[in-house]
Amino acid sequence: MERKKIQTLIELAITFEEADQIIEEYTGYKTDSEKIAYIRGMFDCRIIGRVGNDLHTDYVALLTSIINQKWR
Amino acid sequence: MLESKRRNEIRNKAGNIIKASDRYHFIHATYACQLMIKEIVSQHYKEECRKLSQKIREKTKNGNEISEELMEEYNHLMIMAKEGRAHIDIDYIETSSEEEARVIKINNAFVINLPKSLAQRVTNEDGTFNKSAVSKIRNLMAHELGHIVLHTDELLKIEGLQGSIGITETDKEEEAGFFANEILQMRDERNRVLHSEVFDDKT
Repeated sequence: MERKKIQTLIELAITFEEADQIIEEYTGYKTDSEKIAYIRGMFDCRIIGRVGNDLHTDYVALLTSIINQKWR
Repeated sequence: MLESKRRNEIRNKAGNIIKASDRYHFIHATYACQLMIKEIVSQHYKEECRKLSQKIREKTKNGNEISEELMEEYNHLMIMAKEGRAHIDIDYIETSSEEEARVIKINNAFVINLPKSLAQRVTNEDGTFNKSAVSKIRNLMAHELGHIVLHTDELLKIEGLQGSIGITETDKEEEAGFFANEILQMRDERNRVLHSEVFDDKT
């Protein structure tokens, strides 16, 4: 599926679960590190600070920030 | 004169805001950080605007039109100034533990992500504060604010902000941790003074 369409669907997602499902369904990526690399390549977003080292939290924080940017 | 029904509506709205505010701590410091970043960015771009304005006046003083090159420079400056208007937001997310937090830079927003389970535990069922949850949120907020205050110049692309280029991730964590301890101590002291001088009824 075209990259732009995937990006649009992700941006339109309302919840983290919905956006995560879109990524898995259209890209086939399953691991947190694959998904993080994918969304970092697609959106202008970075982690600039953290407490803790859980990779899944990195992914949740990035994707949640992406889908919530439409309300900011 | 407000009618009773309208009073109750207003009272309920105020109550909802107070309840919601229980989930957010350190908001004064967060807002102060946001204003500080905006002030630094606007000071930088004021100088850039002054320089470009002077350049345009000089190049057009004999009745010349503004060149395409100068218009491009103007458009670029306007875009950069707008992108520099960073703001800080707070989100609560699902985390594996209550010791996890993140700051995400996305477009012109710094988003502090905190554990959702902490927000849900802030108040006890009887309406009192859960001291452990409040303390954890304050510590996490203070640490992440430290990253925003200390380690943002590379992202805002403006020289002269607090440096982060060339320092290790370990050093960044140490700096943010030190910032958190300092600001929490200062805040507690200030609150103690505020309550004793302003809110305590000494008459």
